[in-house]
This record gives sequence, C-alpha cells and structure tokens, in this order.
Amino acid sequence: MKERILRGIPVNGDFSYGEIKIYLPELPVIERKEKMPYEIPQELERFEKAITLSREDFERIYQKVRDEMGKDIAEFIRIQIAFLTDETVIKETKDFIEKERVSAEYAYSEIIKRYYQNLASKAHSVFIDKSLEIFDICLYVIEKLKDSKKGFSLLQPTEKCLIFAQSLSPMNMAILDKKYIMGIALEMGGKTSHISIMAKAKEIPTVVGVENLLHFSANVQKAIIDGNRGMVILNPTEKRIKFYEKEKEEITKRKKMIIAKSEREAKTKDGKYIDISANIEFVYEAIIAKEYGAKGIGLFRTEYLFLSKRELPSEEEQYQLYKEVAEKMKPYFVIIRTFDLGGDKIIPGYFEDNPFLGWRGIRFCLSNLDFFKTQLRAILRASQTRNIKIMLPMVSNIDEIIKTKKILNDLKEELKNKNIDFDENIELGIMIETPSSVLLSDVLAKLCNFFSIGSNDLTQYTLACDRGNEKIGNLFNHYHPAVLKLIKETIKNGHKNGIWVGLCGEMASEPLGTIILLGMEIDELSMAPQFIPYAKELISFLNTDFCKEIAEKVINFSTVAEVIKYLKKRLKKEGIFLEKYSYV
Amino acid sequence: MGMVREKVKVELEIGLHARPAAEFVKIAERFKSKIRVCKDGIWVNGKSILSLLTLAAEKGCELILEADGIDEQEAISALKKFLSAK
Repeated sequence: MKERILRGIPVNGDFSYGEIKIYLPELPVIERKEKMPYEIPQELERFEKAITLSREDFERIYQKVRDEMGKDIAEFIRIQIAFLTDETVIKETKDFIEKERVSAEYAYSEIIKRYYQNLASKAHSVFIDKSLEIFDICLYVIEKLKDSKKGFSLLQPTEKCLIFAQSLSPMNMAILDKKYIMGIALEMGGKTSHISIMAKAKEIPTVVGVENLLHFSANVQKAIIDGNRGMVILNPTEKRIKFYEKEKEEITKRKKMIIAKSEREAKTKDGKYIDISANIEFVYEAIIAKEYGAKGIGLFRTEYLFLSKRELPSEEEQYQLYKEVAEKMKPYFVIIRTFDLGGDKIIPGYFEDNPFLGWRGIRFCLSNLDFFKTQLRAILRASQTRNIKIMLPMVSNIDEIIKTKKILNDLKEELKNKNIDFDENIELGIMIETPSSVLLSDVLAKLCNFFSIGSNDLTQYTLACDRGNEKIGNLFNHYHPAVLKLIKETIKNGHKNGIWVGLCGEMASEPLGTIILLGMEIDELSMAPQFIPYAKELISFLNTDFCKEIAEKVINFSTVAEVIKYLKKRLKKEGIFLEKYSYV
Repeated sequence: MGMVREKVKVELEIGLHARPAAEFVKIAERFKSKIRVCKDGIWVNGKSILSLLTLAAEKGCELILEADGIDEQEAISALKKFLSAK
C-alpha cells in the first residue's frame, strides 16, 4: 500500500512509529434479560453497588489527575462524576428494573441510550461533544455490573500502539497508560482542547484535527505520528522511517546530554549569573518547568482560566490555583500576569475592527473593575506564600499603573481589616510591549518594581506588522534594528532607576536572542520550559564581553538582513555553532 | 400551595453547557426543595445534570424555574442569580 500523508494540528512534540489501533466506541448492545420478581431486589442492589464502586474509582482518578496535572485539568473529571451520580438517571434505571423486570445492565444501558440520543440530536455542537463522555460512564458502570473488581475496558491496550480516534474523553485521557500509548491522532480537537492539554502533560506525541483520519486509515496497519510537524503518515516508506529514526536519535542524544545538566545555574564563562525562568499557562507546567531547571516563573498567563470557561473564574478558584503554582515553585518567584484579553485572545461575544489596537490587556481590566479586582484580590491572598509578583500587560500610559496601584492599595487595606494574610511588599511590574512604554520607560521605572519585555508584541507594534498575516508575516522579525534599539533603551532605563529587566517573548529562547540580550545586560530570560536547558548550555559557553560587543554592533545596522549576516559571521569566527543549542 | 415559579433569561456566555450545568446542580443540591426547570414546555429535574443538558439551553433563551419545599424562595434566588450572571 502506498504511503499517505495527512495533516493536522501539532500538539505535542516528537514522533512515534507503530501499529494503529482504532478506537471507535459504540454504545454496548445489551440483550434484554427478563428477571423473576424475587430477583428484582438483588438487581437493584447490584445496580446501586455498581454506581457506588464506579464513583469511588472516579474519585480516585480525580485525585490522581489533580495531583499530577493540577486542579484546572481535573475539573473535566468532576463533570463526569456529576453524570455518574445523576439522581434522575439512577431513579429512572431503578424504575425500569422494577417495572420491566429486567437486568440492571439492560435497564441502565436503555436509559443512557435515551439521553445519548437526545443529546446527539441537538443542533448545537457544544452540547453534542458531551455525548462521548456519557458513553464512557455507561461502559464503565456496565463493566462494574459484570465484575465488581474490574476497572476499565475502555482504552487499555496491552501492547504498544498508536491510538486513532474521532475524539477521546477526559476520562480516557486520564487513564491512558504512557507505557503502551505511543501516540495519539484525532479527527477532532484544537490546540487548547482538554485532549491537547492532557496529551502535553503526559508528553505523548499527538496530532489533532486530522480530517478523514479514520476513513483513510481503515485498512492500514502502521503509521507515523509526527507531533512536531503535525503530520500522520500512513504506511510510511522505509526511507521515511529511517529519516525519523535518525532525527529522533540525534534529538534524544542532544536532549539527554543537555537536560542532564539542567539543574545548574545559568552562568557565563566569565561567571556572570542570569535568571532563567519559565512561561507557563497551567499548573502542571510548573512541575515541568522545575524539572527543566527553571529558577522561577517569569510569566504565568492567566487568560486560559477565563477562555476555557468563557466566564470569570471565582476568586476562590483563582486563589487556589495561584497558590498551588506558587507553592510548587518555592523557593523561586512566580510572576502572575493579570488577564491579557483582547488582541488575538478574543473576548467571547465581543467584536472589534482592530483588536490589537483596541480594548485589550490592562485597558480591558481597568474598564471592568469588578473583574480586575477579583483577580487582584485572589493574587494578593495567594501571596501569603511570599514568592508572587504581579505583572500588568499592555501598559501604554502612566495612569494605568497609577490606577492599578490605587486599586491594589485599597484591596490591601481591605484584607488587612479582615486579618487576611498577604505579602505587604508584593512587587508590581509591567510588560513593556508598546513603543510608547519604551519611550516613557524612564518615568515608568519609577512607578514599578520591574519590567518584562514582551518581545512578540513589541515587535508587532514597532514594525506595525501582524505576524499572523501571511502577506506581511515575513516582515515580522525581532532582530530588526528598530526593535533591538527599543529593547536596549528599556534595559538601560530600568537599570538607571534601579529595577531589574527581563524578557519573556520568543526571542529569549532563541540562541541569537540570548546572545544579544546578554550583551544588553538583561537580568532575566523567561521561556517555554523545554528551551531552558538549551539556553543554559549556550550561556555557559559565552563571554560577557563578546556578547556586549555584539549588542553594541547590531543596533547600528539598518536592516534585519545585515544584523543576521553579521551575527552568523561573528559567531562562526568565535567557534559557536547555534544548531547545538536550539531545541529541535 | 407552597411553590415558587420564576422566569429567567440565560445570560451565561456558553449557555447551560456541561460545566455550568454541573455548577447549577451543585447549587440546587444545597437546597431541600424539589427543583424543576422548564424550556419550551419541557420540564426536567433541576438536580439532574443530564436532564438539564437535554434542554440545550443556550445564551439568551428563557427558562422557568420552579422550587417546591421549605427553602424554595432561597433556592429560586440562588439559581436565578447563577443563570443571569453576565
């Protein structure tokens, strides 16, 4: 059979080659089994016991997911528990057993089928995708009825395989055994769906959103899942397999060597230290960040909390989450960035002609004070851990800081009056991501405790270029001399006023960026966790003077091409080969 | 006849989807009263998440809440507050 390549959305890195196992769950067909009247009490008891036992199992899985991946992700399991313990379903099943005099298995599957069909018939897709989960529960309870000791027959292969499916429920994702499941390819799903988040947490190569996956793989035995490039290759050729094996070997070798040293400090050859911290979005990433040697969280994005629920998470919920991350990261710091909605992170139900120049970041927060205060109060309460800092996104005017400080002071007063513990000296910093904030950085530095340069947005606003726009995306480049000049100016003004300056855009994790920023005497670099060991490795080979020389030089060029050409030449001369230090 | 009924418009951004429905049930279970919810003439148990989902109550639609029991007034106002929170 011929090789066929299908494309999807890459979720999680690396590749896997193996046997395909198609998972296509169907509601079980349970035969109607009549019972004698005297057997009915026993059936009812069996059913109740199966629900109780299943519930205990689900609670255990919930605990496990919560401990391993954090409360935010475990929430998916909570909803399944609510399905399982639904009082109407339980009552209807019992009535059915009694009236029809049938086995518990049959009664339960009939009742579930009714709900399943009802939900599947609804036009709105957000209601339909729940049907899968209901399904899981039905299968689970029926297994329990058959054999109370048995756990799951859901998705527990006993041999290594790749799972191909339309979609997977959170429960299935939670119990996936990494030993056997080498890769996942799905027809449905996006980058931020529960599946993708859980696949990342489990570090399983995953591609989602692959159209017609099951159709094309119907008679195929083997495939490659390439989670880096977002491809599924059916019937791969020998040549293709060799290519991947070689790539994997190289990556693994380099990874091992570099990660083995991830615990070390980030120190240049001549002994200058720099803080390397992580950008995260979820609780579990804090654990990964620590494993990769992060000495702090330089950017904890909180929008996911909002966007995943499409509603404001309660103060209590936010407080628990912030505290959990802060405790996990001790003794290192955690910088919580307040909600950065707007721009490409669309506010549901709200439309703007020009969202990147619109109601986003701190602007949105300051005009939704209840919303903003709830978050700040949650952060303040969590700051009892004494390692939290607050950061404001999209600052472009002085009064945005002044207003926020006033709100913070009021909230602090309020907490004090209620005798609630918090960090009185919690640091407040701002993101530098607009040209206006750079030009005013000398003044802004006097109003806050630190700067963190958001190089992606700063580049976009400085070059007036939307990187997502195909026609001009190539103009977007953070090595543009104009952007480099602004970064330098920010660092200089921060230091002049005695505050530290970090950078949390993609530039921080790129070897060229690291070298230039080190030369500009940046204090902190924050990046995706997996880049950290590589950055440390590179830094250990650098001399401060060499970096300074480069930083001096690059801002005097007039085009990106000149900057890159110079850098390549200069690094070659120095004997530094960047390929060694980049991830993949 | 101790029973309270009230009309309420769903303001939740994504409607009464799984997560909000789970939340709704959690609130309903705090009360002793019997709780029912109606959309387009169909009544379901307000303490049953699956039944609530079958209503497919999206943002902007109108529901009738009914509570019957010793804490019916409190139950209605708590649930109404939840559904109409923007």
